Amino acid sequence: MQLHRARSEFEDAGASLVLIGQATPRHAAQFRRRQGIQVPVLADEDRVSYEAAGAKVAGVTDLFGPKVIAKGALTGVRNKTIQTRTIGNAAQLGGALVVLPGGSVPWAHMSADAGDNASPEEIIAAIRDAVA
Amino acid sequence: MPAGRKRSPLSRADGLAEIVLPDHDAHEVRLGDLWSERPVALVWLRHYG
Repeated sequence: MQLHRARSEFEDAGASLVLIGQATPRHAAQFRRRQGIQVPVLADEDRVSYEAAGAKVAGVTDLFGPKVIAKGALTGVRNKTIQTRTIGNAAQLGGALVVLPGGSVPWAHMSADAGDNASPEEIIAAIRDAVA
Repeated sequence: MPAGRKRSPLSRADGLAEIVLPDHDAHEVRLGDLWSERPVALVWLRHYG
């Protein structure tokens, strides 16, 4: 997983990295084992935090448009991964926020479609800008 | 939220702070505690699959 490979850069930039996924703590633990990651993974089975963060629930073109499929295939090749069985609501998109002590959010990227994900480099650059 | 709808990005995380979620070990974590001491990057995964 790209984010996990960049975890030391998050630390170097002065921030923690926390992942939030759909489904249960057991699924979160399985995800960590399968991906070989050590960062915390929170389990939001009811997607309460997704809603509060403003994460989008996708429509058909957000999931299966040609650009989305092409980007997904490219990401799979780049990361040498394949899509396995989906756990959770397949239409739920994700996103990322940088939150500073005090609660301000200097940077946010909520996915517009299934292929629209912020790269670790973008998130780390946002952290560096925010703490500079 | 209806399919296809997207809200504007947040400028503050106050609406997230009091949400409590279990972690991978089933320990409860209050989201506001994650940024009480230092910045945090929160990443919502699309799914675990």
